[in-house]
Amino acid sequence: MRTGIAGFDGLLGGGLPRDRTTLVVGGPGCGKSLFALESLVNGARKFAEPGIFVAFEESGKHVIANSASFGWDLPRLMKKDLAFVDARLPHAVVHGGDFDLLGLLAIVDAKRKELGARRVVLDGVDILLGFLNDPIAERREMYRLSEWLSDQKLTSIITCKSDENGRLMAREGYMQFLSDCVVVLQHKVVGSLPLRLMRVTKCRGLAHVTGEVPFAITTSGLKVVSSGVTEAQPVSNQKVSSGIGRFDSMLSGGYFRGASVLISGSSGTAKSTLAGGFIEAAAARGEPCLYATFDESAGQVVRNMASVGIHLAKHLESGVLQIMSERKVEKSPVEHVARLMEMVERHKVRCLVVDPVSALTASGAGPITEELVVRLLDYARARGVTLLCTSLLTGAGDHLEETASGVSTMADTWIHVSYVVKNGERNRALTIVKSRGVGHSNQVRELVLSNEGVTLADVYSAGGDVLMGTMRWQKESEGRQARSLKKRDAERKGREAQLAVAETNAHIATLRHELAGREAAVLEFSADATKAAAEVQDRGADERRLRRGDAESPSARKRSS
Amino acid sequence: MLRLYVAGSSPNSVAAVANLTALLASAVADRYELEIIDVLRHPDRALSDAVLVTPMLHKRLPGPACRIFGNLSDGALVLRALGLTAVAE
Repeated sequence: MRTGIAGFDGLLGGGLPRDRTTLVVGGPGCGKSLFALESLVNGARKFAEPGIFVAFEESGKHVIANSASFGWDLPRLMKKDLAFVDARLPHAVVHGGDFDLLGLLAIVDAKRKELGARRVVLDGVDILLGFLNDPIAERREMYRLSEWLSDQKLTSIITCKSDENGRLMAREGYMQFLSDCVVVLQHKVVGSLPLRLMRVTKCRGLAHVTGEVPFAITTSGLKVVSSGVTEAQPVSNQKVSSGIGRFDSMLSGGYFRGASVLISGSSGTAKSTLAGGFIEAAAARGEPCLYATFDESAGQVVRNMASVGIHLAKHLESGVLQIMSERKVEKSPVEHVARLMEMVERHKVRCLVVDPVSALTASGAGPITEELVVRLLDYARARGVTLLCTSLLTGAGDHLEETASGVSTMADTWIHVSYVVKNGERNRALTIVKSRGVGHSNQVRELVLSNEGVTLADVYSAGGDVLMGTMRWQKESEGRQARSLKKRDAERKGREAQLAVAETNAHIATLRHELAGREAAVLEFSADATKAAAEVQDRGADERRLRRGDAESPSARKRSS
Repeated sequence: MLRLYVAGSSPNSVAAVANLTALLASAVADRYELEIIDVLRHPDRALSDAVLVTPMLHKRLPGPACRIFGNLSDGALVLRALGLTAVAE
């Protein structure tokens, strides 16, 4: 029988054993009644299975009032799918001989017929047993009760108080044998923060998760921190952009969809900025995404990201992006993770950023927190959500590349950002420590932030040293200078050649001019010569005429020619 | 004025009816009023009076109200609880 309690049914491979009795034990205030009530409410709301809540401890009114904050709308459900039986016992009662619980059965049976109920909760059965105060009779009656419930095809949840460690009072120990499934809830304080744990200690006929699993009480009910799915998403070969073009090419295309990415580095190494770039790219693709921060408020995130050219405001307005800002000290890490999972489910988140995940592990809540982060990674992977976690490393400078071992081994891609301090400068160096299934660059790159955005700059290596910052700039500008020098040289030479061409052309023009002059002269002289010859002839004729000589003699003609 | 809740013909209920009528007959003769309610037939009555355990005897009047559950086999205890000891002696 599915309880519908977030993350719980998966622990039992689908839900509580149907038509059987489940015992929920725990100390005061550990969430027993809530567990029982929520599974009834879910039965009524989601699975069309009406239920009966028998309250031995509180009045029905109190139960309804206490659960008002979960948004279950009990008054509406109570019209036809949910019944409360106020079974508080009177105080002044005399025990006068042998008895049975047929009254209780009659009441439950009447309600069962009225609603067609399939589920029943007996909340605070220890109160009833204390009232009866007859170990032999109460044992007999409880067995009879559980048998009867099973015969009526009612799946029942019985809650019973225990000590802090989940052990029942010796007298009530038989309850564990009577039930087919036993769930122990614990509530303790570790390092000043509350920690709730759940363990299925017994479940007849069902394979179940046997370890302790953390859970939290959130605004919508219980939330068990487990992957919550029985079948994981198939592994994807699709790539998701990191939001920085050059970085994508270092990762041969980006992160894998559904992968877990860890960005480690000390304070101020632009971990959040890398995360911001990733989430902006996701939002721009229209994928629902969530940015969970434990350091800043939502407003601060938007402002700070905008200063490096990552604009989240419009995505926040359109609702594609959600920013979850939590103060890490206010709630326990389990509550944070539970809330996170709830948001992921509600908004069908595809890309998730947890900034920083170390806020969860460094809360002093003990070893459970590391396990919690591993659970979160597992959860995201099972759902095909691409998860990017940043992790703060304490200490700065040449710190060893160490981080919570559980996280770094679980993560598919691990990026480390460190400071390189040299020549009076502090520069950011980015390396890909590992990236499963992806050919990735082995190069250290310099991460440059400007108000234009985030870029990766090539790193120069010279004499075995990696050059960054000003040194890189120098090297780059040297290169630039050399290039521009060369260019200028070429330009000059070009101009000179052009000049030479022009000169030659001018020369040609002058020569042409000269040639034309000389040709003209030639023409002139030859004209003169003809004229002169003509004149000589004329003169000869004149002379002959003057001398009244003979006709033109051959000698005279020769002379004149 | 007494009210006895029973559950059908279960052994404890049958015994309780027998024990109570015998006891009352000897202690107060016919100066009592007894209503016997079968919760199997009238579960709504059981619900309104929070009768989870049967048999259950309610003394409503006179004096302080009280409840006794069980088959009422211990006559002296029942009479003491009902405040009838003086009358019986």
